[in-house]
Amino acid sequence: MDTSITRRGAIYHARRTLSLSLQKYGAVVRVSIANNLAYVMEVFFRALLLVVLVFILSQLWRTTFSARGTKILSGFSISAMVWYLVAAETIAMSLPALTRRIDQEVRSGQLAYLLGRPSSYVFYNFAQYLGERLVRLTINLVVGSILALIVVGLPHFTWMGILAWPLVTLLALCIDFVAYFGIGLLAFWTEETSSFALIFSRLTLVLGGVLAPLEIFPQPLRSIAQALPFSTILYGPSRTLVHFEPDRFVPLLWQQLITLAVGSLILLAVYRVAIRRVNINGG
Amino acid sequence: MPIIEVERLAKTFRSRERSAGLRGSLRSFVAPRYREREAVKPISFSLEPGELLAFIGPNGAGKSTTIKMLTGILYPTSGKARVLGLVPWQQRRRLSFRIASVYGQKSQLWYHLPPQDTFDLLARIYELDMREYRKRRDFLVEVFDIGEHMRTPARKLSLGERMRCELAAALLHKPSIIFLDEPTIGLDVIAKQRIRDLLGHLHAEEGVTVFLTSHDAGDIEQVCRRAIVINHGDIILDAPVAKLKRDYLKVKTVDLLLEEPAQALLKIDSQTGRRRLSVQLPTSIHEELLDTEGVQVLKAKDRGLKLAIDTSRTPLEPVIAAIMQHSHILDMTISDPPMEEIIATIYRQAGREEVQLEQQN
Amino acid sequence: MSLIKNCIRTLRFIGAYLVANLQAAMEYRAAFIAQVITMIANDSLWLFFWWTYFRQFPLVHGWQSTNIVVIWAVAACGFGIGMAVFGNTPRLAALIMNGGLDAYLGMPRNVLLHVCITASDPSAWGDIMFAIGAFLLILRPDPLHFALFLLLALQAALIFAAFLVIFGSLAFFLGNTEGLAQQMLGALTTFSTYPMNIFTGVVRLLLFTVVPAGFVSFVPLQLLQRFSWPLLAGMTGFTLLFAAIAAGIFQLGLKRYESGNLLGMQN
Repeated sequence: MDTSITRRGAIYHARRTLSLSLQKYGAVVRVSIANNLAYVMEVFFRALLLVVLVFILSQLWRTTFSARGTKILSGFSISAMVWYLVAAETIAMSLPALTRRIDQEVRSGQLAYLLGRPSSYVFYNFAQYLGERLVRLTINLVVGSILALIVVGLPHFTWMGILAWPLVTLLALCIDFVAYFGIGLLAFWTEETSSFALIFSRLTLVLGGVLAPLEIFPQPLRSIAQALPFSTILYGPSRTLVHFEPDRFVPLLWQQLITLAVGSLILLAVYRVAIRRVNINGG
Repeated sequence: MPIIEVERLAKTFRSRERSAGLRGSLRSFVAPRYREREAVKPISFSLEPGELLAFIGPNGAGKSTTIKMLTGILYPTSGKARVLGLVPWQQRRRLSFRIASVYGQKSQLWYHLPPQDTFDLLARIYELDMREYRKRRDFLVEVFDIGEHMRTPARKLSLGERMRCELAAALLHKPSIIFLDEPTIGLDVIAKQRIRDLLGHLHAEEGVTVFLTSHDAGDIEQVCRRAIVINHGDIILDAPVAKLKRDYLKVKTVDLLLEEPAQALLKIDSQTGRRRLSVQLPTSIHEELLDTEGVQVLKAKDRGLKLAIDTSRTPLEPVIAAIMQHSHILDMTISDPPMEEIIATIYRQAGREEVQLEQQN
Repeated sequence: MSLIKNCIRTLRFIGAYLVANLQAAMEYRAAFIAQVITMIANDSLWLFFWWTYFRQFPLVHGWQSTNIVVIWAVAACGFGIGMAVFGNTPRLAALIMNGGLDAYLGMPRNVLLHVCITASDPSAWGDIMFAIGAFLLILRPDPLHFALFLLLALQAALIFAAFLVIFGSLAFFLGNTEGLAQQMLGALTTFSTYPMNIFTGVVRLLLFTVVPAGFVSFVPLQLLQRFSWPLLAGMTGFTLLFAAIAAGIFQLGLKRYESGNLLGMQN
């Protein structure tokens, strides 16, 4: 037996499997994007709300800033505040109805059918989620940016911030996925999961700093909020873009990775218990 | 004094023609072209209090449009109508206190609540005196035998139980006319029978006028005394149900699943070239080819055999008994002709009568 | 006094539906309680955030940190009552499009009112509880002020409902406006929870007319701080006018509906 040939064969096989998987998930992402483009109307309306929020909050800050007679508040200029808001809302408002879909698939028993598919159920969902989310994210980004340009003009981003932003945003999206997917799986045990999803999203919005950077909070609340995982979803990425500080970047990455790892472990554990439930109870 | 009077009532729907494509949309915006659809041609009929009317026709014939006009939901393009002396589309609210509508496919009962709660709500909606309402409710519960279902959430009731509760709910405010749309759809044979018996009972006790729309010939046969057939917005027949039965409902469709191939029972008629059932009737010594108009072979494939038997010429039982002599019958379904066929037959008949009249002249 | 009798009849009618809706929600007790608690938590989180913000950054001279609480309480209570009593208003456009109004036309009650009260949003009770709780605990009002608060919340509820009716009724003329109505409601709610001081000019005008957030929270705030009869009359006048406009638009559309010539409505 020539081990070198078998080893090469094995590597070739593994690479082919990987590329096939990527192609497969890529196709799913593409289909999901195409589907979502059909929901242009809904996204357009959602963007309307973004317009309202950016408008209101920029007015609020302008008034606050002028009442205080300052140009900088908690280390942020008004331009930075508005761009922060746009960045945070871009992520926050791009959330697709993941929990509801998982909940429905669990309840309808479709889960049993989907488990039979060759691609792992989780990754299939992730691909779908990513496709949807990216479309919404892009539209929010475009609309929000135009708005911010009109209201406060060009931003003062640093190159490092712009380069770092996609990475931390992607991690944030993954964390969100893990959380909402897990909440959706609770459908095995509870009557309805939308309340939990709502609470989680609200906590993310408030403690994760969507309307204003966490610097708004007085101590000790500020430190608590910054330590919590919610801050890694909105505050982290948005601040990275708007107010990049190199010595905060790596700790943020660590925080995100740890959150993601812990969340994934919890998710897999819940998933395993849920699968066992399907096998025992048959849905 | 008729309870429903309809005089040349007509309804034409006008809708904007929508063309495809950008140019089409622009054109239809600037210079719109309207498309008219005559849903109900001028029709006239009248109903006396206490009548049991079957209002039948195929889908799209104008049935629901007519009913909507009679209940005041739609106003007509022309013509007059009076229900209980009121003009429906002008005095809708006053009329709604005295009529009731029951839809087989839409439920008035709240899905998550027991019928009891829906009944109480209806009492408030119709502003019934509470004492009277309770007496009426108890009476209906007994007649409809729904006492044990009153406290079960409606979603947990079977279709038959729910239908009975629906009917009871519709009758709480003692309407003079009740409009029923497919009340027995989806029900099993026994449940259907119960509903029909209840309607008959109600009519006998309270003299309520019944305006029934149904695709089920059994409903029509058993509940109604008079039938109006409408097609393409026109009334093509207004006659007692007895006449309808006599002329159009006597043919039964018998669907059989035999143990032997159906071909064994058939012979080709050398005259017409068609297949005919060939069995030995108990009343004869020889095998005989059965009369074509009496027994028609609709379909014969493998072990499946579908016959149309004219029960006025050949009763069912001897035919089936004869078939059983030749082969075991594994499954059998006996059904009435579908509404579409009845309509088609009426047309053919009307056409034939016209030809006969012409020939006479 | 047939007007009074009419009012009593109408109130009893609304009450009957409120009871039926509560009963239906109670059928799923756990979910109901979860929804209510979630809404209370949700509102509390937001209020907490804004209270912190305004403590740090008072808007103008004389701005009390409790102002934002009042604004939130009235807006939330108004929204809650609106969605609890008139919970079916968001579905008006859909009902118009799928012919669902027919069932209401066959009933012996005012169609618009009947449509609005048929359904109720269970989570709205959370908004109501939060609002009353926040108002009582943080502001500690005297009974008179509390009564005024409830009256103003009721009017805000009417404004919310009328707002949805207007945008839902547009479906009679423009097709499916369900998404539009939802988003406009979001806009109204959002604008209602911010202090009016930050808006000027055209925007302010809009907020007192087309998107009457000013009447939902700002005017009540003024009334609760410094009561004046003319202002109350003005508020009540606007509420009634707004509701009348909504009812008028609905009636116009209903005429079209009854002709059967609605967009793609014929069977």
